Amino acid sequence: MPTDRMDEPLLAAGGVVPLDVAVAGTEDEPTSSRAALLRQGNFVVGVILLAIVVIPVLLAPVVSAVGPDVQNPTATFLGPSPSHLMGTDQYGRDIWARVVYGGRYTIGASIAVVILGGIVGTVLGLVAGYVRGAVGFTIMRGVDLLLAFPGILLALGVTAILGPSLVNAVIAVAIVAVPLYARIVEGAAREIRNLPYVRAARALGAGSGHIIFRHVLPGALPAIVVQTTVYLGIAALWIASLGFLGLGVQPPTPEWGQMVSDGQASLSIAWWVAVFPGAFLAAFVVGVSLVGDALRDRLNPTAAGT
Amino acid sequence: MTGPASGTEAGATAEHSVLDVRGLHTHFRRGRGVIKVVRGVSFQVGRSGSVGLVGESGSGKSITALSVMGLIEKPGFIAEGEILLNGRDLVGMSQAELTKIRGRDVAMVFQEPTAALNPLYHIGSQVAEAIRAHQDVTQDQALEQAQHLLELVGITDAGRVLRQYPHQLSGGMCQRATIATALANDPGLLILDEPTTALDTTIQAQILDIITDLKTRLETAIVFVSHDISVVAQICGDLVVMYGGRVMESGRTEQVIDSPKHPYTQGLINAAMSVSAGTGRLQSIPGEVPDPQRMPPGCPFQPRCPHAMPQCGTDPPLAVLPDDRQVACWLY
Amino acid sequence: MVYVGKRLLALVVLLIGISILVFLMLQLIPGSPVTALLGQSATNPAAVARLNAELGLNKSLPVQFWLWLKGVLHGNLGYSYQNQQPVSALIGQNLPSTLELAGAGLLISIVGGIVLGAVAAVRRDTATDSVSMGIAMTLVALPSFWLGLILILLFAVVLPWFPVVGGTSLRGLVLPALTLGLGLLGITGRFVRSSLLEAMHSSHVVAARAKGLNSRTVFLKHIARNAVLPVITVIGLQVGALLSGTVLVEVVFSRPGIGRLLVQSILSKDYATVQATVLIIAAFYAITNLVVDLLYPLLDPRIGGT
Repeated sequence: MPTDRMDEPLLAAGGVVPLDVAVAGTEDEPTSSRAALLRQGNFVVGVILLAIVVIPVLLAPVVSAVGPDVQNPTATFLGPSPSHLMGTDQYGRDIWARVVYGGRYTIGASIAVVILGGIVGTVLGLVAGYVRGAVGFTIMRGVDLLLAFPGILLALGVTAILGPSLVNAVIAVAIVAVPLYARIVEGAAREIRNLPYVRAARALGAGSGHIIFRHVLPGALPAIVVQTTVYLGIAALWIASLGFLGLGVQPPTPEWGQMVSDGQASLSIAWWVAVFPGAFLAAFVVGVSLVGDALRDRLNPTAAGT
Repeated sequence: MTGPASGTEAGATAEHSVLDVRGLHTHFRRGRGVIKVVRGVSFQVGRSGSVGLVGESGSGKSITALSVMGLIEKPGFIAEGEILLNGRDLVGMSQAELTKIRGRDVAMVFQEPTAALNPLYHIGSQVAEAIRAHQDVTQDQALEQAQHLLELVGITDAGRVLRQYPHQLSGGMCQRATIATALANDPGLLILDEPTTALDTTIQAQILDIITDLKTRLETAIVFVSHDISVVAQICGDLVVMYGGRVMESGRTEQVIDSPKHPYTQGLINAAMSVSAGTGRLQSIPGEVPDPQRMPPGCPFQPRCPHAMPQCGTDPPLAVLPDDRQVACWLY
Repeated sequence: MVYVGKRLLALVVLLIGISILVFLMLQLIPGSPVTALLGQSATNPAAVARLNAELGLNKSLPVQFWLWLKGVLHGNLGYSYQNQQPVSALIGQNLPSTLELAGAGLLISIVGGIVLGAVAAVRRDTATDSVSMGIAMTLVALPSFWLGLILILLFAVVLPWFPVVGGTSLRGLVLPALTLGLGLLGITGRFVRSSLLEAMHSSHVVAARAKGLNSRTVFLKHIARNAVLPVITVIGLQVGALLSGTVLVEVVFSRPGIGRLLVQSILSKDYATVQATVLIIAAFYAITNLVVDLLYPLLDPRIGGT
């Protein structure tokens, strides 16, 4: 008698409880509609957070009565009030204005990082994964080497060489992003390269460039998107961290990380100077995380749930 | 004794049976409702008896076996019925009491041998673990016993195998080890849930031989769960045919095979025979196994039954026929 | 043994690669390495000449690298003119404090993560589960420098339980360690949860219960023991985040350490120190990864060719 696998037909028979479920409860995916609802809820919360942060930033001139650099010596260190939503700093500058304008630097820089690092990393990954050979090997060893420097260390090293500025901070963090993208794209490219229809295309003599663009790149796209959602938040954190350390934007340009550093000195008398920019940064990163998670679940339904 | 156990043990009266399942209903909570996977199953296993639970996937046979072991956990629960093991009702027993019984009075062998073994411990310690769960012996004594058990199941180099890890052994060897583990405390009842399904055919035959041999030598009662009626027929003296969570037919193996009463049993046997005959087309039962969430009222086999009648919309009563045959069908 | 050998070889290769990269760092700085290293003393011809000879600047690049590497292996990490001390002394002074901080942070992350993950796993798909994982995710996304400031605000300014500036006392260690640990706790927590769930639902757990083992034994021997492995991976991965995290935490709390040393050297253009600290941190990271890798065969008989 043909041996049919017990588990799959059970599942295929329309939801009959498989053996392991019977004995040990349900597996990692949410079985109750409640858990799935919570996932959706996370997504909504993420979108709301992002909206709270991004919309004022985009509409900075509209939502803020004053500019970020307007000083007012008579209104220093004022607490949050209707006229100054987030209070003022030691120069009398309106913190709300600085936060919304500063967001343009922080978020803008993060997007630049992701685009720059993403493009370079993807190109390297495609070449390494598809062309392989000595070139691929060299690229991936280079990637490994870059990854040998933990976290922010690489970015710090690059800023040490280039000098502190926003542009250099973007370059530094982008360099850290490159190996991450390269690795993921290389893995995807390697897999796709061996798929039957790609093999067929190669056998038919299609050019490498053509294949890469028509088949490999689109196939790697979900992985790239997922990586981007993960990395956008991290990039923001690192740009702000570099700013906090004084290695990014230079004052008086507002940038969230740098503003937090500014506010630290007056923490005990004017907590709002440091807390609000950081809160916005936190909201942005958490929002991106939640949205990213939800997107990832959509794109990768088979991946183990968290 | 040769061949399946003689006729009087199976179907014995409750006082003499090792296992007496009465009206078992096992449900699973899902969302706001329940899925009724086992819907009123009853059968008995006598001392030294051997009962085969046969049915396609989704028939509820494995869940029945797990219910007997008390291993049904949330969201599953036993809704109704009695499970009398040596006269004691397991339903409603506390986990503490069940823990004492499992492995000692009743033991189980699972389908995937390598999965049933913890990859991080060597075979010897896992068999010894079963021994020390119920016997007050030292680790060394337990390992000695373990070695004997491994030899009992036909592992020749038992001393070496004791120290090996599951990933170093073949599926057949692992399954022998799990059987040895199950027999560690000489249980009165051994439940085997598709023990050979995941193995190659040649190994299957070996394992079946071992089981038959052990059954004869140790006089352990056996419940053999399988979808393969031909396998079950070789080993068991009695057959219980399940479908859609219910018992369709039961009785002595030879009689059920020679003259199946229930249309479903007939279909199963025809299908099995057409495979072994090897000529002509394979006979199969048309239609699909029902979804327990959308179970039609009445006889679950009705949609696929060639003899379906309007009556079949209501549950057919269990007809008791001579020679301890039971059939749930309006034809009788 | 092959496993160990291969890993050691890979480590050596990696260390060489790291040293090359770090060496090249100095070359990439605008101006000659000599002016970079000497900084303000670059006008002193005697110092210049001495440094020239020491670095072998008239020789080819590979020779220069070899000279530098030899020096490093003998403990000569250069001289910091800004601090008027050999770099090795600077590092020696600061390393213990960083190790202390990293250790405390790791401890908090592990203990907290295990508790969080275990609670969530045992109560999966309930409100407790979602809240725990929500906390975990938020903690990961919070900017560590901001978190540090919030902790200072709450527990040093508003509630004067801890010193504002993290001294070297035990009390001074609490807030910085918490900042570091809380950020990582989220990652550990999520991982503990998923590996516990996987272990809980595996077939051998069912088989173990079928043997009649009591719940405690089943949990300890068959669930926890199996869940430990992936968690060790995650802890190993966190070492990198720990190291780069100390940079920010030490700066926020003005706590002496390698991280703060690095940042200060970048800002004061003390390239000798920058080079040395980057090298030390990267090497430490590589070695720790190897140690974690080597732990595996000890814990999992399937790995390492037993």
